[in-house]
Amino acid sequence: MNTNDARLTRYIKAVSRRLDLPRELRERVISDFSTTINARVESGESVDAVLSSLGSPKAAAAELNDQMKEYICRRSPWRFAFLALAVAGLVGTVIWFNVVVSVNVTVPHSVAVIGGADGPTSILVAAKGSPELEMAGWIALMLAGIAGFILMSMRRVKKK
Amino acid sequence: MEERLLQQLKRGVLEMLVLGLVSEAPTYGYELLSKLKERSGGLFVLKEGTLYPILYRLEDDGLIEASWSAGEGRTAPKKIYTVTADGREGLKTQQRIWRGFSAAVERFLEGENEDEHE
Repeated sequence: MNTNDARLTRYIKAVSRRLDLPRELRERVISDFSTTINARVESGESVDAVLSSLGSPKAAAAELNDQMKEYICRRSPWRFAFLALAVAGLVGTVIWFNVVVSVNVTVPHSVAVIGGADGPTSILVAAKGSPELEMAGWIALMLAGIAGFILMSMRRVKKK
Repeated sequence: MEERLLQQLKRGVLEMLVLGLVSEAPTYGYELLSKLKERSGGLFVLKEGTLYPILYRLEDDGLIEASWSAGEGRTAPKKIYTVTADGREGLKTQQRIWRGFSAAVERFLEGENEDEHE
């Protein structure tokens, strides 16, 4: 029984490797495929009979690839717009950090070394309006972009 | 030509038949294939892979759902499909549409035959 189990596992893995499908879909197909193989063996068919009826791993995978063509996991191209939004948010956040944080970091330093150097710093920060609000804005943009991208990647475009 | 018509007709009703079978009892791919063959008197002989796109579309539409049943004793765990409440409703609708459709086609064909006799 154990050697048979190993043969089945090996066969299923060999088929899985040859499936030319998106990962998610490949797992879905393999879960059904292995359920069938196990069910057939448990119902009394011999491992040899089951495997020979399915053909070589190459043949079985080719057939599955062919049958799955009509069910393609197409995703909306609009998801890239959300990705761009996320990148813009990220860039904004990074720039904000470079401007504000680097200035902040120099504050105690310059205070310690040269007294009163926080004058220009406060001007710079004041000139940027409300920095906390700005950073929250950039981060929100980035998160909205990521959320949109993930949501749109999960949804399949219905084929007519 | 005959082959193609038969293919198209099968394609049209297969989803309804599979949904019907799943709604009778939770089941898995191989069992569905045997039942389809048996109940149709050998008309619906499908390959394993043909069934998957149908199952996945039904699942994507929320009409059926998949779950893993733990293996009993030495049996392996199996991926089982179960009908949902939406699936039961959907099946009723599909069957109503089919009955209306087939009755209309039947009437149409009878009308044609009468024309020939005259």
